[in-house]
Amino acid sequence: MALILSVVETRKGVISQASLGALEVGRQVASARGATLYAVMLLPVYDRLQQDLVAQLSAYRADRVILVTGVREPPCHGTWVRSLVEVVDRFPPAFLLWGASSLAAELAPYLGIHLKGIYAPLCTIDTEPQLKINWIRPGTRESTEFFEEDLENAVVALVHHGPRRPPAATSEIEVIAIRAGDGDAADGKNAEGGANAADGANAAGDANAADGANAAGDGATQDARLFSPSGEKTVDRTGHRASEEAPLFPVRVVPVAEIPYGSDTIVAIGRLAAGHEDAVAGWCAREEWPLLRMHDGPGPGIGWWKTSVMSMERVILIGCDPEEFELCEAQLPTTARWLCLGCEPVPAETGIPRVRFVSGSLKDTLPQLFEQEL
Amino acid sequence: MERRVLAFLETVTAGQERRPRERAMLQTLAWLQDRCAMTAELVLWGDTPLPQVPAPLAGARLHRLVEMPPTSLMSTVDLAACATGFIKAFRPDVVLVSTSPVNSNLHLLAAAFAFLQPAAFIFGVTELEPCDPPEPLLSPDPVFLCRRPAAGSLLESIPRFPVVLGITHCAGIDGYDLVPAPQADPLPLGNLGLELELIQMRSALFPEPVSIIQNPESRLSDLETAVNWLTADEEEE
Repeated sequence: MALILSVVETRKGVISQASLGALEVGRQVASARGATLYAVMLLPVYDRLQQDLVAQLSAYRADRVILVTGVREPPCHGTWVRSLVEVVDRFPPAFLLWGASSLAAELAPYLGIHLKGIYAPLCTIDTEPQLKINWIRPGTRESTEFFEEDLENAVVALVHHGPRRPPAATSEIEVIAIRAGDGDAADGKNAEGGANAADGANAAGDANAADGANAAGDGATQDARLFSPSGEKTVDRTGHRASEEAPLFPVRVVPVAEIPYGSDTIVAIGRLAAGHEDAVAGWCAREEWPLLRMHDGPGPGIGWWKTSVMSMERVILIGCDPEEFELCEAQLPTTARWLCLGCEPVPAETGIPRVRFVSGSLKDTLPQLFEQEL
Repeated sequence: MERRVLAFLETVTAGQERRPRERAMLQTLAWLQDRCAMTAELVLWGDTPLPQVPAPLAGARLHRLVEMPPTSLMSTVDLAACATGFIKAFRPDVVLVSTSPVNSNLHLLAAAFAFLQPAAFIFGVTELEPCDPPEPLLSPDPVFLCRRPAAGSLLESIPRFPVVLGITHCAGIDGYDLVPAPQADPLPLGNLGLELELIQMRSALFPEPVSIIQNPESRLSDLETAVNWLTADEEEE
């Protein structure tokens, strides 16, 4: 039976909306194909506090959960790729789905290469009347439609929306537990480091211990994993080895201005709002909404490059030019509803499925907006 | 030994070098050559010429791929084979791509470098900064620090070589002025061990792209209607 894997991201014990959206798409595909839907969740530790997460995955209609524990933090290519490669090797998917996020953008292409699959970072997936993946290519105004018969290899797709159906009642669900690093008995250090995942110093030390694994200078090893012009790998065990030998390095988590926990709305301000910055900042302060500054110049708000915003219900863009709008598309939650004021010109295409552009100048529309009950 | 940085720019449309992410990638390439004493090589994927580059790249080597199809028409296997050819021909220590969604197939190419070398993969870099090597990393290599936002925080790391960087922004770099680009040398596929026929054969299996007709007017509305939509319950939407 075909397998559908859906990778689940959590933050502060909460599953991201995009992950739930991916799970929902996975359910549709699995039901259409008679496949089994696995939710893949990677955690440093699994304890009583995390048990709710598995229950939620059952409520969002996963058939099984693959729970990988002992994964180091912070989530990134260096800490997750090895475990994910192990999962896709043990459970080769027909579809690998992932809610669009910065982590997905970092890891999904790698898994696409490992699986020799189709990588569709922006796509829609329909299951009625037949399975169809509409791979949208930004900038080209074109899309490519893949039907079931076109799919020889796995599809690695990012899902850009949250769940659209309410959760069902929770039920019992099979959990397949994997300990990070268990697949490689020779490497006890990494598994040990995983147990101390919250300890940045230990994680860094562990990374240093693995430094000798850098095989860049090892011509024989490198050539053994190369692809020939005919497109075949010269050996078949490259994926696991690649993840095993990838050079690790310490990753430090730098505190940034915290987006208030529980915020459901974020405001992003661009260059075109230059004359209205103080008014917008004052409005955000009153509403207790975080304000992001989408340009490099001085002004109120957090510089966009200093933070990442995973989930919000609503995004309000004020005075963003086309460059800044493109940045917002990449940096802000695409699953939210977007309201854009004074964003000129209105882009001809966007990957944001739920967006409204308000006509009129900021001078006229902002005072009205500030009076609204949002 | 001087480190080599290999950057890829798919020239989909003219003036792409001025788009934020492509510009950030070119500025980063220039910075790595200027401040980290690396040898910069820039591969242009596509026929659209690149008229200008940041000043430190005035003497850099530019390569223009000859007869290479657009990445959007290439399969994952083709891109992996390309990465293989580039690794053999250039032995890069650093690979740079822009994280622009327009170049999503270059992200696959970048991932192939990380998979094949193997190399670390850092995607979404927004800030760069020169730094002193920390104690455990003592080496003669130039060291730099890169930051990227992820999941509510900023991840900071000092890459070791080889490394693949996806560049989103170049905060921390004082932008270099643009100067006329050097002449790009043609780079035939044969030099990378690639065969056009094989690539075309696989491309032919790809379904034909179809045009997306959009109507942005439908998303335009007055403030009151838009606010009602924004505040409506999911079911009412």
